[in-house]
Amino acid sequence: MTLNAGKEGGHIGPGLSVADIVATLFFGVMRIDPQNPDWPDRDRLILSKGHAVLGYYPALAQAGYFPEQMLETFEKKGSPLAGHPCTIGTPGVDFSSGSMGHGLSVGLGMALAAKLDARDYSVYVVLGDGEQNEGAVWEAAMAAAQYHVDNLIAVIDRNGLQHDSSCAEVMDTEPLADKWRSFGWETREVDGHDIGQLLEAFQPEYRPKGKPYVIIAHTTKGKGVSFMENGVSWHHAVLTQKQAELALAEISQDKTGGE
Amino acid sequence: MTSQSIKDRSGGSYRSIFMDALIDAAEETPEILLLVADLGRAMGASRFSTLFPDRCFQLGIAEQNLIGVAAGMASCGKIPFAATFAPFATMRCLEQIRDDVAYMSLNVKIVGTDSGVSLGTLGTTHYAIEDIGLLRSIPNMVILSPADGAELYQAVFAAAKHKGPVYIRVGGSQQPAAVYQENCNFTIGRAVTLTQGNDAAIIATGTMVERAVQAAEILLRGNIRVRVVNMHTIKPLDDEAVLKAATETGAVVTIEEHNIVGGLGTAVADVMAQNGVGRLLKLGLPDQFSHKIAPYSDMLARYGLNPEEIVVNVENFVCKRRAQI
Ligand SMILES: Cc1ncc(C[n+]2csc(CCOP(=O)(O)OP(=O)(O)O)c2C)c(N)n1
Repeated sequence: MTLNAGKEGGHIGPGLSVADIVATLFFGVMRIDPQNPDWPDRDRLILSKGHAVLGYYPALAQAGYFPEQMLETFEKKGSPLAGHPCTIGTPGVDFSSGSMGHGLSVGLGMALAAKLDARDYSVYVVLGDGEQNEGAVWEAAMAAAQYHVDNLIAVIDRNGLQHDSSCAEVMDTEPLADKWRSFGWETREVDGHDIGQLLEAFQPEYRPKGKPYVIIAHTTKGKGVSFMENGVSWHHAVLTQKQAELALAEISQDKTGGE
Repeated sequence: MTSQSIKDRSGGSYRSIFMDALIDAAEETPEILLLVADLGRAMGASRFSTLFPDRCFQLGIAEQNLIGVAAGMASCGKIPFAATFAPFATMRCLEQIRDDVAYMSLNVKIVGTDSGVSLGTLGTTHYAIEDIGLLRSIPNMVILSPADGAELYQAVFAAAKHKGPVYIRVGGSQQPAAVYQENCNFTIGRAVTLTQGNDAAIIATGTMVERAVQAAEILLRGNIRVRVVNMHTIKPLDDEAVLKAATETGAVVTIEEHNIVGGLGTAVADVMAQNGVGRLLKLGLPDQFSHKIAPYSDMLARYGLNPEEIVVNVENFVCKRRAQI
């Protein structure tokens, strides 16, 4: 998709970082009906780090929200598949995003609405670790604890990088788990590329009662492509044909090698 | 800056020209600081921080804090330039801009790069098509919208010299199309008349100025003489230039890469309506969100902001107006 987007490029590092988390949610955790994307009882997913669409649109297509051919229109003139997801025009996108730090508040709103309507859906919000810089994240964190919501689950894609540099250098949010705990959240840390660990973390028995839950998923930005891994310059990049072939070869090898 | 150095810089993007200017201004003025919000790499902030390590501050993805910190620094005599992408520089922190910067009339310079729809395929969350309208309604704000690289360079110096809050609206990674071949004279609040003519006046700002000049050239071939006015300062608006254009031509067209609600067109309309002169056609981005993205140049084409379509619009407007007389 990045290659296809030509000189428009794509947020490829962030996409590869979050892909396993999103795939686990869609194919192993969430109660959804892609034929019925507005089903009121569906679980909701908000990609609060909205720039990571490359790890999101393919999952939506694979789940059946729209035909896979539509992926070819990514960032093309007239396409709804923009560099950030938009609810209007893209089936399966529960909420538009792109500006960092909005998603958790919106997720909390959805979680509270579920309680009002006595519905039992869950709301999953995927955040970036750089995104933790935004004050609004912590406003939502505080409010979620205040309202004891246990149908709101935040997942932090903890890849240690943000746009300009490493999180430690830009704005250090460590100790991150302690911060969330002190805000009244149940926390759990997992390897965000280990599907088994991710699946386990979402199991009902690990989900706290009467308080919100955050999973800190340790990930690698640019995961699966050696020359992209942990590279700041791959946050958003244009791909050459050669790079695309190398990357695809590495990723498919990874698959057959079996994790 | 000499015209030679403008040429040297002709390969630069809006972002890098801004950084060139800020570095040069910072050499002269030790109070100048640079504050970024995790988009410093995009604009080459490391060039600044290498030269002035103590004068560059990374605030992370936290724009409200960015503006608040800038206000505090300005209250202690510093001249902070808070720079990030335009939507985040103006909207996330609008109340900080109003209460902490403008209300106190503090010497904070807000620089919004990648304004308008220049981030084309990234979609609406990354467009700034409301920024002028929002900031224009805040007292004390000065809003600069330079037309090209040479003018941007001057605007940064002018902003640094001006005492009080300034917003500089800048393009993105594109190389600006040159309006000025030589040095330009930039005075805050004084519009520049680029071409003479009394059949109509095009008042343009920012990226649209060069397109307006192109349109005027085409129109001239059809014997329509258009006065192009570069309104590089949206606030305080050069009312006199607007009134002169309106009375002398009777037909004013505004063009901006901004929502036609609240921007340059609205500002010009206020002046014309209050003085009861001339007719106005506002060109710009329609008052709607776009749910279908496109690369930048296609976005501008979609909304008729190409010279060719500007020509057609101006022609029709002038003909209609002549029929009325
Ligand atoms: C409010 C806001 N400010 C700035 C940006 C620009 N931006 C996009 S992604 C990004 C870095 C994100 O870092 P992180 O949350 O760690 O996600 P990663 O890409 O590293 O997975 C920035 C600053 C934005 N989208 N929204």
